[in-house]
Amino acid sequence: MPQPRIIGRVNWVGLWTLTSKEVHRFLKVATQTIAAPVITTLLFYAIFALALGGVTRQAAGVPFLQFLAPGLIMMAMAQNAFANTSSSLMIAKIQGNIVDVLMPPLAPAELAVGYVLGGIVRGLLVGTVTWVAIRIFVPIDPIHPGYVLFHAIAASMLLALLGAIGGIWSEKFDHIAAVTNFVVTPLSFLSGTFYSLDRLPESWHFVAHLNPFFYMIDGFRYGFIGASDGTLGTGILVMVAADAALAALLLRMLATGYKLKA
Amino acid sequence: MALPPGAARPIRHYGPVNWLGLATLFRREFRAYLKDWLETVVAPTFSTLIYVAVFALAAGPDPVEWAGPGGLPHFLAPGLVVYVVVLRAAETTVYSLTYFKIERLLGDILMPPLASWEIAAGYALAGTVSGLVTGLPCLVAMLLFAGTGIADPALLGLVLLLGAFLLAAAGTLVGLWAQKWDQAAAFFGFLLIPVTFLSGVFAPVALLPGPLAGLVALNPIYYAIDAARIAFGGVGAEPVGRSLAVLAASGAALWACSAVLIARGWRIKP
Repeated sequence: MPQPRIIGRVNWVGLWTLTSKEVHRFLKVATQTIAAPVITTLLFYAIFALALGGVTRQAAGVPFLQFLAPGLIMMAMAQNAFANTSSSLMIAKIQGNIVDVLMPPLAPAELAVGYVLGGIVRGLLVGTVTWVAIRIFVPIDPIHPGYVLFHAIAASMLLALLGAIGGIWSEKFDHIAAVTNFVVTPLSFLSGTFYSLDRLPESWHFVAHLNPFFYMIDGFRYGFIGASDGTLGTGILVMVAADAALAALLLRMLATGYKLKA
Repeated sequence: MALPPGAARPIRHYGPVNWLGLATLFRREFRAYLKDWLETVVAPTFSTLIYVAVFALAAGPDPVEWAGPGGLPHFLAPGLVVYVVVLRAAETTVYSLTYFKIERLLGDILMPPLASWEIAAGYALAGTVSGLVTGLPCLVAMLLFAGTGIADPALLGLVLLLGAFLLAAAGTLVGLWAQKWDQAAAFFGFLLIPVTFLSGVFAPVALLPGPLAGLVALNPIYYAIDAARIAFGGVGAEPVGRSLAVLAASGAALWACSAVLIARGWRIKP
C-alpha cells in the first residue's frame, strides 16, 4: 500500500531535482554554454593583449594584462549566470513546459533557490575554466581568496537572480534579448572591466559608483591584484544588499505567480 | 475560391525567372529581419559604440603607435562597420534556415515553384540587404562619435556589398548544414567571430604572431576590412583591386555552392 510522502520544512528531494535539472540542462550543450563563452573571453583577452599589451601600459599600478584578467573572468561569470536562468525560464514559458516546474510540491523559495543555484554553478564553472585557461599565458593567482570567492558567488547570484526576474517578466525572446543587449552587456562592459576608474573624467566617477557591476569587478580584482578603485567594505555591502533586494523581488514574483500562473 | 465543376484550372506561365516567387521569398526573409529591429538594427550599433568607448578608455591618454594619425577610434571604425555588416548578413540566413528546419517549415520554401538557384538568390539577397541596413546606423554612429570621414564612399559601398553577399552566401551554407541550434551558434562562436576579430578589427594583422598572420590572409573578411580601411582614408596592407577580386570570387563560389546543394536537397530533403 503506497503511503503519502511526508515533506518536512524543506522539500530536499524536489530542491535537489530542480537544481540538478538546471545544471544538466546547460551541461548537455556544454560547447555552447561553457566552451563558447570561454573562447570569446580568451579572444577579448588576446585582442587587448595584442593591441594594448606590452610592459609600459599599466592600470591601477599593475601591468595592463594582470589588471584585465580578473575583470574579464568576472564579466564571463556574470553574463553566463544571467544567461542560464533567463534562458531556462524563457524557454520553459514559450514551450509551455513551465508547468512541470510549477506543479510539483515546491515552495516559491525552493523554486528560487533551485534556479539561482543552476545559474551560480554555470557562472562559477565558466569563471574557473576561463581562469585556468588565462593562467597558461599570464600567471595570475588569488592573493585574497576570500574576496575572490565572495565576489564570484555574490556576483553570479546577483546575475542569476536578475536573469530569473527577466525570464519571468519577458513574454517573448525579444524582451529578454533587449535586457541582455541594453542592460547586462553595457553594465558589464562599462563597469571597469577594461579600464581603471582614473581613466574616466572626474564627473563620471559618481555615475560609475552607481553601477553594482563596478563593485563586483572591483572587489574580485582586489582578490587577484591587491589594488582597488573603490571602497571594499562598501562593495561587499552593495553586493549583499543588491542580492537581498533581488531575491525578495524574485520570491514575491514566484509567490504571486506573476506572469507564470493564470 | 472554389472553381465550378469541370472548369479548367487557370495556368500561370513563368518566364525564365519566377520574379514573383523570388520577390516573395526576399520579402518574407527581409521582413522577418526587420520585425526584430531592436535586436537586429539597434543593438549592433549600440554594442559597436560600447566597443569603441571601452577600447579608447582602456588605451588611455598615451598614444597608440600603430593606430595612425587619426588615433584609435579612426582605426577601429572601418573594421567594426564591416564586422557588423557581415555578422548580420550571416545571422539572417543561418538563423532563418535553422529555424525553418527545426520547426519543420522548410516545405513552405521548397514546395513553391522556385528553382534552386532562385531560393539561393532569395536568401543571399535578403542576407545582403539586411547586413547593409544594419551597417548604416552603425556607420552614421562612427561618423558622429568617432569623428571619422569617408574618403571613398563608392569603394566603401562596394566593399560592404561584396562582404555582405559573401557572408549571406556562407550563412546559407551553414544554415543548410546545421541540424540544431548549437551547431548554428557554433559557427558564430568558434569560427566567424574569432576569425573576424583577429582579422584587423581591433589591431593591425601585422601585430599577430607569424603563423596566425598567414592564416588570417586566407580569410576573405580580412580583405573586406583592409579595403574598408582604405575607403575610410586609412592605410591598408593589400592592393584594393585584389581585395575586391577575392571578395567577389569567394562570394560567387559560395553562392554557387549553396545553389547546387539546395538543388541536391543536401540535408533539407529526405
